[in-house]
Amino acid sequence: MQTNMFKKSILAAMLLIFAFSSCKKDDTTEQELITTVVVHVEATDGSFDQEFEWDDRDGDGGNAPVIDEIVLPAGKTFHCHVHFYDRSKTPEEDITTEVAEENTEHLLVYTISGANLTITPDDTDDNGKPFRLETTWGAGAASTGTVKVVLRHEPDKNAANPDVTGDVDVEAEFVVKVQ
Amino acid sequence: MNTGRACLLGACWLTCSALPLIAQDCHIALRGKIMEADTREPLAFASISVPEAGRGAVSDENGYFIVPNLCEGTTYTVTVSHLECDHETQVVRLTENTLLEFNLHHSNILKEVIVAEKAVAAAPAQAAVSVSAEELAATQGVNLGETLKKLPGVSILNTGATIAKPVIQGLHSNRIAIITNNVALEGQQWGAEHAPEIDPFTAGKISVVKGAAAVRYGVGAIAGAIVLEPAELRREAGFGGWLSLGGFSNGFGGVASGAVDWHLPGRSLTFRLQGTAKRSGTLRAPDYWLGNTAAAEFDFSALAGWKKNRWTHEVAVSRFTQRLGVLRAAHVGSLTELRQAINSETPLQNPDSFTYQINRPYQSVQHQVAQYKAGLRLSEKWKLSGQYSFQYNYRREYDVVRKTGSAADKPQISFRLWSNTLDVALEHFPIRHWEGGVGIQGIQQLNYVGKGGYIPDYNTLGGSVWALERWRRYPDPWEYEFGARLDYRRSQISYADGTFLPPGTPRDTSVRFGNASATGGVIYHFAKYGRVVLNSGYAWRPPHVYELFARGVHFVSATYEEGNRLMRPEKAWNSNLTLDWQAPRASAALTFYRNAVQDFIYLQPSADSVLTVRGAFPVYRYRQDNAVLQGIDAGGSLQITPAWSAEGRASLLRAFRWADANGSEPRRREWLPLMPADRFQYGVKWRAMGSKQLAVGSKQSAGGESYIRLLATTVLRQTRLPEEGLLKAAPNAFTVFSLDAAHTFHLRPADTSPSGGQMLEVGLSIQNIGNTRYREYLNFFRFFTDEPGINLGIRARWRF
Repeated sequence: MQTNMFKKSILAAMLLIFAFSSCKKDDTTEQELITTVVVHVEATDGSFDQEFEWDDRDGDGGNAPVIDEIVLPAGKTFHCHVHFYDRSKTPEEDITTEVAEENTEHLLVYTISGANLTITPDDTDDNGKPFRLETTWGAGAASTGTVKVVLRHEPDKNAANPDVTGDVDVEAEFVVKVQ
Repeated sequence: MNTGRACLLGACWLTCSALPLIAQDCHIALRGKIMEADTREPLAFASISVPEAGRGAVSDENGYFIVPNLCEGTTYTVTVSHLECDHETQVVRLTENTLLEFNLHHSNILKEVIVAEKAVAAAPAQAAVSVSAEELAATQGVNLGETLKKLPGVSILNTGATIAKPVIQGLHSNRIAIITNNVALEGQQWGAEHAPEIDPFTAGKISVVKGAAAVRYGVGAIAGAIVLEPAELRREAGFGGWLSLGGFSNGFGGVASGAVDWHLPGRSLTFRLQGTAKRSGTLRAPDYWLGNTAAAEFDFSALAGWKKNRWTHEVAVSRFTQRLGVLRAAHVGSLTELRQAINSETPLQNPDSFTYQINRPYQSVQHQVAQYKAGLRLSEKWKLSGQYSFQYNYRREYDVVRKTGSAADKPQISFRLWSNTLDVALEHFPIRHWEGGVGIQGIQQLNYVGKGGYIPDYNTLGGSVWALERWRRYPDPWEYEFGARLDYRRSQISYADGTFLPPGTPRDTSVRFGNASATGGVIYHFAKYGRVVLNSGYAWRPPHVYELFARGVHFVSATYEEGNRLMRPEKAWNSNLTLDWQAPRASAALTFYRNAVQDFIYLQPSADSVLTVRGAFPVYRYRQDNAVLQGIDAGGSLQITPAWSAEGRASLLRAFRWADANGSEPRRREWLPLMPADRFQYGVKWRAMGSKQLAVGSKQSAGGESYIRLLATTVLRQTRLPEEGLLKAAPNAFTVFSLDAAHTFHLRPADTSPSGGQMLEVGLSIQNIGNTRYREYLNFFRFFTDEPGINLGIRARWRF
């Protein structure tokens, strides 16, 4: 009898250890998703104001993204502001605010190819380093090409070429037409 | 998943080999096996003494012993003793075909000695290798993959320096089974970056079975199995245990592990508590720190066994928790970034400094097992056994995120897997020289991934029935094994609400798979020390849910991976031939194998790409073709003088698939990706032995008082690569050196059995002595960094 009691208590102790060790559960995961890039272009003379979207609200894979063609009048200067959204959620989440708040940890990079377009920064981050959420675009003669908007996270802004450092959070390519 | 419950094969046949006369009279070896008379369990650490020859031996963990160099025609008194048993003496006159088997009876006081029921009593009749006790001690503190990588035919698949998976003859993950204490590990083994959730400190013995092993170890084991067995529970009343400490210079890591065994006096209850804690910081390659490779691990296990009348019982619980930093430089969000990283000589985004902190990205893994085993002896010949096991696996992956605050604590993906298995087996001891059993198994699994997962949730139900028999009649040199198994699996797949699905994809669906497995083996024993083992097996594996339904970007390789819902099961026909020679001074094993896999599932690069917000990713689709993996594993050691010995091992593999016959084009061979390159290992060892110990083959070497071993590993460049999809050329061939030394102190010498004494073993190891820069083809992070540099390790193990 005594033996039995002993066995049982040992067993019970073991089961208890096991039960205690397995109770904490964190159910939720946090997926970070940027589905949409909006390039808001306003001519400095007020003659042009339009938003162009790169939109993939079902995330990676599935339906192909819907990408607007950026069409700009030739010979004008524009102010450009880039916005990021997560439109897989309802209501949509504006990620731009967060990017702007953490401006020292982010960097936008623009790559133009083919189009007669120049992009110059209009802002700096809190440390006076490049940020480029706001830029000035100058459209030259009529031409067609692409512009790639890249958002980099945790870049090394002291590097010789900070544009290639950090993680790529967004890499959205638009067809751009200057006419 | 069969739990390797099978059949006490050959537990009882005598192993005392035929002793044919050779030219010289005094070169006869006395071989034998020592077993406990009642249970027929092998007795380890029994002392064998032959006073006439002035020599003796100690039985190994399977009860085997060998006393070499005895003279023909001389009369010897062989005395066998074991702490808990009566002595037994037998007078022998060695001639040809002398048999020797010792059945020791426990002394009266210890009638109720606990014997933990062993699941697999005999090694399968196919190619198998074990990690020697010495190797197990030398590798203490490293992960399972590292522990096994010195075995011929075994290599490791790395995801950086912290994550290692064992690979058997080119295959890994769901194509091999990992069995711990008779339970098949049910984790998230499908991912190449998901390391097995195993604490090697729990094992008293680790062996690797190569080739199709599905009949014994369950569906999926088409390439082999890794079998970990805990050391037997204490049989004699009293306390025992060990404490192990280790430190490593690379990563400034430390490990502590200990176990206490207690057998209650006068009762049959015996139990063990065991725990391991590990911590290490950033590892270092020769030229830079491998940023964010810190790791932490905490494991615990408990075992208890008791016996009453014809019943034996065993209860075990274990818990494994691990946090692994993943190399920061390997975190790439887009193909552009991957190209940048590949083209850079040094890692980008690398926090080049030492820290113990584990930052994002990291993995947090938890695995728990609870099991209950019972055995009932029905008669002299028959035994019924049952086992229930529960496993819970919880895996969380934390990615680099922009968010701060409360969201910063949450994982980006998590997997939870609950598994219940029930096994019942009816086994018999030899009846007309046939020994074996039949059994059934049921399994239920629930996998919860949650929204946005790479794979959907699933609920699987499965059932199996198997039979395995082995024939052996001593001294007949032939031995046979046959087995068959039927499995059926049904999985209910469902996507969480809110998951985006491509048009036409049902939210709920189910898949069913069923098939048979079979195995046949022949062993021919020749001369004194030789064996030829021929085994052929048929095994299958249902496609895993990820191969059927995966959909998403795999960031390490910057590819978009897509499953195929119409996948058929993989069927493997595996044959291997092993020539084995285990003499006291020379041992060698040579295995030829060929694994022909029908409908082999692999990832095929396609011309398509998927455009995402992080740019375009090439699409890789799961496809299947017939494949062949064939090769040679070789290993051997030779004692040159009593102190010096040399050893060598080689693993060669050729793996290809038959690419589709395209219209008029004939089918052609295409190499399979990620197959281990040819690998060679060679070294010398110096050993100084104590007076009491006697080396028996290489297995008994743990008894040596001290040794120093210098080993070189040469890995050739993998030149057999598929044409498409190559991001970076395979790394160059390399040779690295390692050194290992140990000394054993007998603090309180045991007169007859080492298990009764106190021992302290101290050891030193140096990995990558030359601090060589090299990269391994089988490491996913070869794109980003070199392998770790020099690592000096010290260790101490105290047995009491």
